[in-house]
Amino acid sequence: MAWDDLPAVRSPVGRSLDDLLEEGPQRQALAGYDPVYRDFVDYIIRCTHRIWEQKNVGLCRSHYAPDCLIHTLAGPVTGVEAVVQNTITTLAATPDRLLIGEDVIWSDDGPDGLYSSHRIVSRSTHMGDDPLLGSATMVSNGVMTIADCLCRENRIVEEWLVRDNLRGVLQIGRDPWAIARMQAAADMVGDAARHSWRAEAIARTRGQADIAIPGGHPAALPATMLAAAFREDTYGDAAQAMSPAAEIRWPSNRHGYGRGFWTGCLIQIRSALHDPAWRLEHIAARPLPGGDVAAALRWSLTGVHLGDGIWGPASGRDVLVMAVSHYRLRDGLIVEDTTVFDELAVLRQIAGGLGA
Amino acid sequence: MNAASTLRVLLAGERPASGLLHTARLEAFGAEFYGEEAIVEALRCAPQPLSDAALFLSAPGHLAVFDGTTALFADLYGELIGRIWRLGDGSPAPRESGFSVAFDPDLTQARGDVFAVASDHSALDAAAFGRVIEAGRAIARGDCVACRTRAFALRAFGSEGEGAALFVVHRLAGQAARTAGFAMVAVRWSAEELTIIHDRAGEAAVAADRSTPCIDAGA
Repeated sequence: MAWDDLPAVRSPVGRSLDDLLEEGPQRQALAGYDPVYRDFVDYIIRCTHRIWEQKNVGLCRSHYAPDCLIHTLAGPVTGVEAVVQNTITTLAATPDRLLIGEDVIWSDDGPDGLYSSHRIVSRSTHMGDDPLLGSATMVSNGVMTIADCLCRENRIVEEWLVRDNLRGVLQIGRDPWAIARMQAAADMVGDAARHSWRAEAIARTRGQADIAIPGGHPAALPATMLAAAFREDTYGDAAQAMSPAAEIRWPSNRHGYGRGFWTGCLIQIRSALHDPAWRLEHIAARPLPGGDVAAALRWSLTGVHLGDGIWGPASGRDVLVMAVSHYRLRDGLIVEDTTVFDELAVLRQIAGGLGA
Repeated sequence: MNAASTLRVLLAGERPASGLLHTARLEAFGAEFYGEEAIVEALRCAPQPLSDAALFLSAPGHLAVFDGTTALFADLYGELIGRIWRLGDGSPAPRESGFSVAFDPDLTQARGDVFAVASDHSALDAAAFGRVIEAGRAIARGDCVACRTRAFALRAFGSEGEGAALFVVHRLAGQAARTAGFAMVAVRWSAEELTIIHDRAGEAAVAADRSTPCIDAGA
């Protein structure tokens, strides 16, 4: 399926909640999916609403595969019962949590299934104790999450979850380094083999080729941009893909405008990471209202933390970054970049956590 | 309810019956508020009803309001509001912590005043692009003496004879230890005049901020 096929399956951008949750006939053939879902975008938006806001957490059991695999930068989560438990734990700490879906950028990945890149702003109040955030602070916060989900027959079979956890920690006034060190200390106890996933992911980033981009696909523009920056260090050339007034949101409340700001975000990270490798892992794109195009790129970055700076004094640690970037394209230029990764999990690695 | 009415209700500190998307963002007082409930709450805490003299300008996808020292810009989807910028006086909101980014806005030795490209602005007549550049230059060159100011054209619509633009201005201020940050500026032009509204609340928030280009590694 081409990226712009099925125009009746609309992006949630610019649509009211009533419109998004209106029930009715299907707009897309979805073999094996619950008939309540009108199309794949509706499946993602509606099941998130049912599970999180309506608190029907048990629906995870009919919406995740029993042996589903959730990739996060803090380590993988396996199995639907772990998903159920983690969701309940999160709701215990932040019961008023809203998962406001900004966009669902999806692709038909053929026999693999349907793939969604769901950009969410989570708004909540820290009313209960939380394993990550600590004792309740009653502070309201909100962070960006992107959940990339591979789905087959009404079930998420694999998910790549990136959340701006460092921003969330800062919003409630906690010390991110204290949390990262506590997590790292816990990581050093017990069987180190449970962290082998990180070394394997670093090896994949260094050793495996990018996924292929079909001719004419909108994701080629940002993919070429990121490759030029992270592989060739030609930031100025790379930034030509952006509008001169592009709006940029990167993790931990980096929010600015223009090619120079985007370049600054990358150089800040690149100066900390020596001998970097970057890999493109997935792409998707869909039309937006007004002729704009939304593109989603999942990518990984690795390097050796040999530079003092953004992440503190050089530690010599191999660092892995798992990121998803969402772009709004207009007339051949990027006008908005929203990039998310878990920077708290980066600090955790630098503090010695998540394995050797 | 049309978008102009929704904005009037919001600025009066009330909750509109409809018209504000659940995904809407508000930037005001140097902070950002996300979601319908947070936006209503923020404006309820600092109501500032629009006067009868408020001037509304619109184009497909855009609405701008100029009312004395206050200006509003909104992104529209039909009559639904997806994003609002409120510029003007007011108490700055507490700044949210985060990583500051050290950067060069120009990427060239020939330093610039205005960063804009016409293709970003589909509701702007081609002939009006010059008014946007002219307005951006007026902002950058008319700014404080000890400031290096760059204006980025974020939204613009209208014709050569009448239109509006929303700029985000990056300002490197002071002389010894400088402050840096972004604040919004709204402009309206007509055949005869150029009106510039600064977001004084946002500027105050930036001035009170400190650069934090790393997380304190702690003891």
